[in-house]
Amino acid sequence: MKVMLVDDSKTMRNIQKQVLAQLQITDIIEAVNGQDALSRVGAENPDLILLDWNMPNMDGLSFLKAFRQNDMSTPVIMVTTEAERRRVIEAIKAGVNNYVVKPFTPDELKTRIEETMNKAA
Amino acid sequence: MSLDHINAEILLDFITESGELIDQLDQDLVRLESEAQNLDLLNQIFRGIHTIKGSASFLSLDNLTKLAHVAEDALNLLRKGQIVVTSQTMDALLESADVLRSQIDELRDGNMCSPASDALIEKLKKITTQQPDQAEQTETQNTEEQVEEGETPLEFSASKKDLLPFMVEDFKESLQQIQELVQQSASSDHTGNIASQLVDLTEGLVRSVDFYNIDQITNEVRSLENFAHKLTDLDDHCFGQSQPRCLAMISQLFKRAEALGRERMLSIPTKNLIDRLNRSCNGEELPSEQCIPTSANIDQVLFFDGVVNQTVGTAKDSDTSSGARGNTGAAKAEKSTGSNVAEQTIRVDVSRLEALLNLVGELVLQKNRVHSLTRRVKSESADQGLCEEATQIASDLDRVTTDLQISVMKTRMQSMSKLFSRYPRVIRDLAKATSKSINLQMEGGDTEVDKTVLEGLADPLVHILRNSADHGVETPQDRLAKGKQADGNILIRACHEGDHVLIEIKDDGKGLDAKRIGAKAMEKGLVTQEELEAMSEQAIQRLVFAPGFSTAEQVSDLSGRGVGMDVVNSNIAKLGGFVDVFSEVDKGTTVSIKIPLTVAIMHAMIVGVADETYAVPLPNLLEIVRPEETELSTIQGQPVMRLRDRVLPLVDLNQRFGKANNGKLAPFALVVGTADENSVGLLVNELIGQQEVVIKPLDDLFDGSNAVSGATVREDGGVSLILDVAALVKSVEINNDSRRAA
Repeated sequence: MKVMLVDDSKTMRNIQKQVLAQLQITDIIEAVNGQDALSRVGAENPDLILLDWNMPNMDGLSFLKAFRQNDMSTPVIMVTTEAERRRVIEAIKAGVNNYVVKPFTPDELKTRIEETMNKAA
Repeated sequence: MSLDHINAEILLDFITESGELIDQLDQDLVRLESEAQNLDLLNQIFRGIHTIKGSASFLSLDNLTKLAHVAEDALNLLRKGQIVVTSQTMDALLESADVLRSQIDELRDGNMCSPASDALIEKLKKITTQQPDQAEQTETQNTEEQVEEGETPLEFSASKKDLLPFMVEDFKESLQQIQELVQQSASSDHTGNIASQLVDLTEGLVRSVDFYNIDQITNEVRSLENFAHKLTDLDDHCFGQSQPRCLAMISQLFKRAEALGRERMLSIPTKNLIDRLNRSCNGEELPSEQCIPTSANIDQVLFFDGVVNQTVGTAKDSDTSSGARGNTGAAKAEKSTGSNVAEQTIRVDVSRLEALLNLVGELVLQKNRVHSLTRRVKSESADQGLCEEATQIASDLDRVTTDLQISVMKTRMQSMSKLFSRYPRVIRDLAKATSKSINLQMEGGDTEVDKTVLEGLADPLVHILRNSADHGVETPQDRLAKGKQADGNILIRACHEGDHVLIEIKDDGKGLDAKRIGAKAMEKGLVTQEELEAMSEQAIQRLVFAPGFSTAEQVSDLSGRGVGMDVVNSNIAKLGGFVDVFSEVDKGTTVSIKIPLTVAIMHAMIVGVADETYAVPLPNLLEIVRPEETELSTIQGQPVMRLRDRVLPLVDLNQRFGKANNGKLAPFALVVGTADENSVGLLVNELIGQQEVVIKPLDDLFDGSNAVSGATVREDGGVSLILDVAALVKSVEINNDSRRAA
């Protein structure tokens, strides 16, 4: 499975990579903001996108709206902070398939990925 | 320390809002006693306190914040199930609500609020350190939530559950917007503006519902999305078939959203509705038996497509039973409609409404003057066209004024539930203090009355209620001994009757003891032995309304307070209403109050006395007679007349108001009376006619002994006094009493 991580924080991307590694997911592409992700997502064609909310140069929500214009099927999991929780519904309405709140445990992320992939299948 | 540092407007909003929250809190806390496991209720209480605390700390009201904070802590543990509801907890929480209320009252009076007593703070803190060993018990009980009929519980993963409140809130909000757009939509809308907004909204909604994996709701929402996509292409016929169905669907989705918030799925059979909506949106011609008639309303559509079994809403039947220990279903339904209504109301300063009402009053007066001018034009002018035009203008003005008056009156209407909400607490405290067990039932809380009337009713009703609970309902032991259930019942009921409101307070207690009342009344010198013997049992019972009467053997601090039912009586009379009592020994007592919907404008008979005119309120007027010489006589110096088989005391208004009348008696007698069947005849010189009068309160200089209750402006611009019939009737009784004493 190929996963695209979209996050401006290198630390955060590294943590996520570690967690994914525990889930035996190593095929990972990294994007540093929404703009970057949007320009490469077509060519990379990932199976799943983990999307941060708050980023410079196009935030997660704007990326999502642009992305869903062309691609309705690729599942997207929103990675949010506790404070953004009440806005998650906004993201879901824009086409996010699931969400996970930072900080998360490997198990949590695993459950969310499984939930999401099962539903998408 | 002063309050100068706080923006006055913000403070005022805070006071109003917190006042309402505490009223709600009071009610909820009492409910909590009987529904200790109701998590929704606990959350609601918690939110209330939390909001008060938040705003108070923003306004740096430290004393208030401190109390709200400890109370919030205790409530937080309660709702998390870490401690259980005990009677000490309830007492402390109720006391906190009281102190918070008095602190807010202090603010309203422009003072800084005083701190809560250390004892209370300690009590609350003690709650939070309660032994946690009982916690598990609550937790297990919590999981046994009630499942109501027609509902299935839903289970969500933790992540979905966390999000649920936001989702439901958003669901309702989106529905609201979609509803508005669908209502505005038309088959001829080719700009696509509404359609494109609808597409966005419905697509979002589909995604958020889909996230929760509830196929039924997803299908329903998808049918709305389909409508949005097809809207610009629909012809008149298909639009006529689909738009009402969309609105019907939305009405059902509101219910779904509310149930979803409680993690419940409603069984609503929407299959036909979805199917027919989709087909007509897709441009399919429906078979004629599936076509809804034009101008069908939502209920009819729902019925037509088999969503409901009857056209009249079935949800309403639980309306009457939401008593003190109300049925939670009804309470929840109220809550959900409440949140929709809230967005459509605005707060208006009472003084603005008062000013508006005053202006309408003035307008009514001017209207009356235009009428009288029109009559003059008609009688004095020969110009036929002019007469007709004047008549037309007068009648148009009449109609507009009446409509305006009704509209303004409506803005001042408030529902009785505003008063009712305090009673569960009153009864709870009383029952506790007297070790009785009392069920309070309330009906007709949605009955609306004018604000002034409502305010005037507040004290009398509490007084009657306290009387019923304190003196009416017996102790459980006494009740069991009499073969009754140990729990006493009090029912308070309000309803409309014409332009009056009827309020009944009914208990199943020991009833009024006519013998004891009679004895007491004699002892107090209110009646004589022979009078008493001539009185019917009900007339004796009515003596409780006589001034200075109190039957309780010992005056308790709960209801006694030295004032009796006479204060109730006079307060109600001030509002133009009547009180009556009906009681059977050991069966119970019913006190009924009849009161006009509004006090500002009323119908009156205008009469001439010497060269003045007076207004007699129509509700008090029983009949008008023209007495013959032979029917008039004097008993013990009191002029009377014979009216059929009765002797009616007379008051010559010429004499009463100090006018000379050439020694002759005035020719007309107006028979007027009050609710307690006392009536007198008022002698007047002239009957002028019936008129709508606007009551202008008299200055405080009038002490009420003049038998006038107010003034009004007549058609011709002059001022007339409005007679206080109750006072006139009373003055005759007093005259009789003093004569008897002499």
